[in-house]
Amino acid sequence: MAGADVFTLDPDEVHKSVAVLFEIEADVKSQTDSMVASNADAAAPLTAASTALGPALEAAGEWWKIHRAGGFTGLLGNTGEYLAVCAQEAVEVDDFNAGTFASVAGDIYPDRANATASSRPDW
Amino acid sequence: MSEMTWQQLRDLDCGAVRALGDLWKSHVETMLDQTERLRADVVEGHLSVENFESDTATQVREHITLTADRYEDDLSDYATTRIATTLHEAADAFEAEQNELKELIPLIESRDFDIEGPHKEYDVNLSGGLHQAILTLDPPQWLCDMVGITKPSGFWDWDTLKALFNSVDLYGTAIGLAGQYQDWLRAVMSRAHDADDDAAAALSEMSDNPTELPPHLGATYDDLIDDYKEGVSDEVANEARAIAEGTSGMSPEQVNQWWENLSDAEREALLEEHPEWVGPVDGIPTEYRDTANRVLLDRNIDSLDSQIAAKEQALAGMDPDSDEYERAKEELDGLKGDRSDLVRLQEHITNEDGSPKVYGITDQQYYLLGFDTEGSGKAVVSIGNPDTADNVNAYVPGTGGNLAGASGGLMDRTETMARDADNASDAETATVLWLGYDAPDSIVPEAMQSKWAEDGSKALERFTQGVRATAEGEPSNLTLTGHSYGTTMVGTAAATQGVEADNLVFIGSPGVGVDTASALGVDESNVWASTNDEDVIQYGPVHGNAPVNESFGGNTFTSDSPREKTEWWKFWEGATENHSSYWDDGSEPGEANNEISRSNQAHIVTGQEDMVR
Repeated sequence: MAGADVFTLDPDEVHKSVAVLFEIEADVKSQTDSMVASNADAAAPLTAASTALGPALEAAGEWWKIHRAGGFTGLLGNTGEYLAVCAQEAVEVDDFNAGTFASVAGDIYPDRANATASSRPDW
Repeated sequence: MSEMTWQQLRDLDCGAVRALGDLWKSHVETMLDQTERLRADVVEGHLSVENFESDTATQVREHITLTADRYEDDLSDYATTRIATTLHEAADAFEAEQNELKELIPLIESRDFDIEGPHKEYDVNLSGGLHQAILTLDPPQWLCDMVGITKPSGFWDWDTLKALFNSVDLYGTAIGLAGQYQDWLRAVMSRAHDADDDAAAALSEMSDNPTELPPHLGATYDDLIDDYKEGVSDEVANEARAIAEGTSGMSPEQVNQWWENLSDAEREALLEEHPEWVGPVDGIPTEYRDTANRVLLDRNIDSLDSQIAAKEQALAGMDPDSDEYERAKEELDGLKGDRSDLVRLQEHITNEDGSPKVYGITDQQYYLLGFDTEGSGKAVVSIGNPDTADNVNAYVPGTGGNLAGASGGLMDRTETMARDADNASDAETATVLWLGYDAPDSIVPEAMQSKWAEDGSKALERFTQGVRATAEGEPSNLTLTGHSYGTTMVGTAAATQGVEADNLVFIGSPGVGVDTASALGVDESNVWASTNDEDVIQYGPVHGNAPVNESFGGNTFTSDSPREKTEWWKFWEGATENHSSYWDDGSEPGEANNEISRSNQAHIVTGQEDMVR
């Protein structure tokens, strides 16, 4: 990598870290979906009972899913994609964009939803 | 805004709400396993220095750590403190009011009363059937029992005539009972709506100003990461400010959880840089609040010194006969009055070397939990630490209560109560002067108005919640002791917002805002009242049924009326003086002693109700 005095990169290990990142991303997504679905189920009768809590609870669950847990998983996915590219072709953080991953993903991570890369803000 | 009807409240599944809170908590635990995995398997595992080393590698490891840190903070601040705790608190509050309904609704139905009107202001009225029963001289048995007549057999006999003669009483009794049930129902719904709105606010305001997430790796990373780190370093201060300004929506219990999750360094920084965000906040432990408030007290006095000097300088250049001069002089006097009150308070609770003073008789430290010079002034001062005490007794003064009293007469009473509790029990009692509301300045018109009590109710609710939140170990036995308008303050807060108190004590009360002890949300057996036989207040129950009346449904205890008029012809003096005699301790030569009242109060406060006379 440009500018680095020391450089070590074990591609296999970096790919393993990518796999862990993607796995955590998927686990957190699915567990959050399940949590927020339970939250919405519990909020429904509260809303039907004309409480203020019901709608606020449902909105809080959605906010958590999209903005906080969703933000976390988004960061994990992005970092994983960056590391995947790193393992293939050394890049600097600032040189990375989702398109770079898209160019290598098909070979290494065929199951990843690369088709949506262009919808990301850093595309 | 809560729009629940009583039927909807009755039918809520509080268990499901609580279970959802538990589910969120277990979800957080699962998520923490994931961040742990991120650190162990990625940062310190596959992506460790041995496998990936360069400037970029260091940056990526830091980025992943920041990401994990952020999510862990989110799990703590939002998923746990906000969502799970809100659900648990709401479930507890709803369930408490459901239990009240379980008792109340069968009573209303069994009396053949109707519940009418909108859900915010229910009326409980006599049903058409009950009207007819009374009009046709066939009143129900329960009503005959209350009035003290035999239920007519249906023939025109002596019992029927008695019912006819007593028809006004029958109506009056039925209407009076319906009124009590109405107060009770309205109080239940008011507290339920308040808890509901509080819960909704805690969740809604959660998303108002969240800390940003770390930036994504990519072209803008270097530009954004410093902003992110700066945002994180301001995060605690921003949260503390929102909490202190009352815009966070957090309950005292949530504030306490937030505080406990801060590092020592973060707490120290807040104390050092922003004591104004620590000192007045219910839910922050007493020791920290005391430290912060003492700093604020110093600063306020210094600030008043500067303002006084500036005002004096301005006055020197004004025409002494001008209106402008008069106004400035009045302002100057106000500033000097405030300064004098604060200095006296400071001297009362602080040693000459600046250390906190101890009340020598009980060997307990004074803790300053809040003060304010606005209006007639506010002060919350505790003798003993409420966080560690077995019993907490908060004395709520009435009309004329002001900042000056916090180092004068009001504090004298507080100290007397502290000493009496100390004498009555080996257990530790913290005795708090709670003047956390703007008390009325005059009997007429201000003390005739309920607005002072209504305005202070939220603050008293939060104070009691704060005592619960900061308690170390078992919750204390918490008593609110109101005097005069202070009883109206306590009763109004208990009925409209709810207070987390074990006992309510009403002394010399002009009424507590509701006509029945049942409306106070505290077990009636723990509601106490006393008015001595000369107290002038008995002639002016302007805020509802006097709590010493049997129909109120609480307990009463004896108080003497030990003060005498100074001249035989000053017939009013005994009545007015004895309104303030409940803490007379005979400590000064010639001073009256209301030993029985003080001892009864001390026994209630220390959980020895069986000794109350």
